[in-house]
Amino acid sequence: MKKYIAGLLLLLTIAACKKDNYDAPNVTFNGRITYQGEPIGVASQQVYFELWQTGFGKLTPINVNINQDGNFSALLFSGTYKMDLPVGQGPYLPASGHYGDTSTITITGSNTMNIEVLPYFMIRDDNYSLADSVITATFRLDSIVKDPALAKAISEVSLYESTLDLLDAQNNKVATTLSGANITGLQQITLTLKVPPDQYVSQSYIFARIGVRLAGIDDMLYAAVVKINL
Amino acid sequence: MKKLAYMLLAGTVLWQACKSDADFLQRPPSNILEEDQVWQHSDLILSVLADLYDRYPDYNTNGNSTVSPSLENWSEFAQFDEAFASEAGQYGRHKWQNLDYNYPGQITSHDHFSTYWDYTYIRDLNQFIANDSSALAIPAADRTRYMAEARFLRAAAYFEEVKRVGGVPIITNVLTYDYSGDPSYLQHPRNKESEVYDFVLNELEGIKDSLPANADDKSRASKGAVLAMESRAALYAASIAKYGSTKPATLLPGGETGIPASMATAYYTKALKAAQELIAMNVYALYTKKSDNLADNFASVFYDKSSPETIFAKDYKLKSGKVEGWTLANSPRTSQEEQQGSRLDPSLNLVAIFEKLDNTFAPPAITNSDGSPKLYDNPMDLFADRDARLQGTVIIPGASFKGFTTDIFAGLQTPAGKVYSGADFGQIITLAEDGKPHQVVGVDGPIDNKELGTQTGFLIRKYMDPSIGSGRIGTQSEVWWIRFRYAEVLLNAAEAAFELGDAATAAGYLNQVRRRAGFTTDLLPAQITFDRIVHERKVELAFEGHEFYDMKRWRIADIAWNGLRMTAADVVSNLDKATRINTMVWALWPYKVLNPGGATDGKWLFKIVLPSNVTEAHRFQLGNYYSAIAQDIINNNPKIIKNPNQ
Repeated sequence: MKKYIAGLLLLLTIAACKKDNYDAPNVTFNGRITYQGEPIGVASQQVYFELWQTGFGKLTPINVNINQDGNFSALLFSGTYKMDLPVGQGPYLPASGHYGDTSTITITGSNTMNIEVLPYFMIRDDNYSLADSVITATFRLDSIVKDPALAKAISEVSLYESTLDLLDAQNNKVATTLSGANITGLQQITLTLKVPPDQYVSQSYIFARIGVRLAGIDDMLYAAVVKINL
Repeated sequence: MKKLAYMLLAGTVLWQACKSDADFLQRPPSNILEEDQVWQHSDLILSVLADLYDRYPDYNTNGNSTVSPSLENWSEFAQFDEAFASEAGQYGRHKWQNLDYNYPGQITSHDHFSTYWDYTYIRDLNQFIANDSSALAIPAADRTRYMAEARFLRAAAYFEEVKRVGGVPIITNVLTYDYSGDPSYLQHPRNKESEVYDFVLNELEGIKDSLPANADDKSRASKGAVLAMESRAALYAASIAKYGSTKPATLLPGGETGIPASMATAYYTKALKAAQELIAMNVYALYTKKSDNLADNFASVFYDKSSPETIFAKDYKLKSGKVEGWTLANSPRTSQEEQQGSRLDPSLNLVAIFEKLDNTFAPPAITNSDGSPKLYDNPMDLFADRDARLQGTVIIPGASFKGFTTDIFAGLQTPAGKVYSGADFGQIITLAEDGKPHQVVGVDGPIDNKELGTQTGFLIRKYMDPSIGSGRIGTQSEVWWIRFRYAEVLLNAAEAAFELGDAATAAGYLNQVRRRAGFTTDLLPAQITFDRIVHERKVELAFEGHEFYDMKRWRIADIAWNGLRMTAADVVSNLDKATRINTMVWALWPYKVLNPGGATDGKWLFKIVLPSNVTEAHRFQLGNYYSAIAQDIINNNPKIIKNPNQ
């Protein structure tokens, strides 16, 4: 008799331990913010878009932050999501040119998807050279949003330098800035910046990057980070 | 005999058992008062009102702690680079890059981090106001006053909401759910920002004559409090109308955020009119009781409860359970009564903007023309001939508090440039120079990264209570939190008059405030500029909860807190500019010269230093002009639309 009771207790114990929690999100959704396939650089983790999933009670967006090279990555459950670009986030407009269009995306298994947007400007043909401890950056700015009702003025362009490859207006060692009013032509802009002497002591390379601030937009547009050997 | 006892007992039991159930189940409660009982007695209504007063929204209540406003939450005042937070748990104040879109947030009653959105409070106020007709038994004068007070508090709650999030739904009746399963009739869309300001202004205009026109009870609403709030609210609305168009990204097309520029003049006129009406009451005046020492005089404005300057305050009382720990938190080590203090250390950014008494701006003179450090006999000489409000607001090195002279110096420096310093407050070490023991660091600090001592070289004086015991945990302080004071009303009037093009009137009001601060030469009307107006509010109203909202309404917050790192040169340049960069807290550390036997021994020199805990530059984004409305609020009421840029 006692044996049965012991057996029963054991059974109960095992039954009580049944796994009842949900699986963790296991699907990776990644991709890039692009314009016609060209990636768009932003400040690291400061620009986001929202994913909304309905049907699970509380409606709360999942904010997906974008890396400085335009990449993003989110760990999700499989399912259908609505994607929304919040008003004023990022140096770009939604691809359609106006806000409020949410697109539906279905995620089953890990997948990669680039998000097309309409940037106000594109930084192109950016070249960096180093001579006499001065970085010279030349680049071209192509105006993409032409509609005068939507277009934004350039308030300033900057060249940033750092010993780290995380580089933007808030994270840099030295910077040089040219006000938008002093830009003579968008076809050829040149910025120069002196590398601090102390970096020659400790470093064999540094990083540089061009940034463009637009009037009335929080988030700046950036070129890709480049590594420059000293 | 026994039988008789049993019979009696049985009889009693039976008699009790037959008592009506209705009586048993409907006994009036003896531990709570019911609504209709409360509304029969003036005193009981007053105690309901006392609870409503207690929930008045003050300054910024932050989400990292429980809801603790103003004087009970010293660290909030270190958020925007007016001061350094010298407590290890608060160093994060200087390590954030981007201001949270929820800011100023708080934990609301439903445990959600959100900005101020207190419709529980507004509903209770509406319920109080709706009971007007139930209170017929009390004297008519009491009833009129109570109702006006509740409407004053409701206007205050709406003003605090519109300051943070822009237009909110204006609800003036008691909303009750009918359990039908369809709550949509309770969901109201956001009103326009201008409509909320209009509501606030109209309510205040409507109640001003129902409240006492005297200053007898400053912790209750009065005609003065109404007019002071009216002038402030109208000024906020006016500047949003005037400057809003400079940041088009902050405007919503439906007017939920942003006010048309065409309404600016009308709001400025209202602000000026309300301020002038208060001034003409002749009930309030600038505090001038200690005119022999203007710095002490200015400090007394905040702790002397007989000040004619206070219009409306949140009061505290010793031994009542309602005390505040501002002095406990911030006492200099030289006069502290517990093993703590010195938390809120004003920044050099703030100290440097106080003018010289000849109406000019100048950085503290710390170097000679040849670049060598300028030496002083007394550290206070560095700040001689400055605006008296500097020493009324800030304890500078060498100044006293509670009769104890502060001991603030970071180290000893030899003429050759060698610096001796210590890791403990007031540390004494034997130095090679003369083989004698020397104190190498002040008892009050500054020591970098050492909490509970100054780390900027300055200590806060505003709101500090000089009475004995104010720094003890078991006693604390009854100094009150002044919500409205006369000097602010004068500055409101000056700003409104200036924006209306009447620089002469503006100069008149501005000069009253400046004369009290020790300026003997009045500003001429031609010298009144926008920068002047901004500057005067920064120095007069520092640490009073105005900085954040003022910078927001002028639409220059994103320029001053632009996220770019500040240099030592930035902190002492553009001192008179409204848009001066203010993203990182800088310090000014005094040192003493170590030159045994030499003429310069013991003299003072100063260095501009960046405390090592100030690692990031603060950034206010366009999306911060209007705080985020929490997603659960939008889920509950889909008619609420989001604020822009978030």
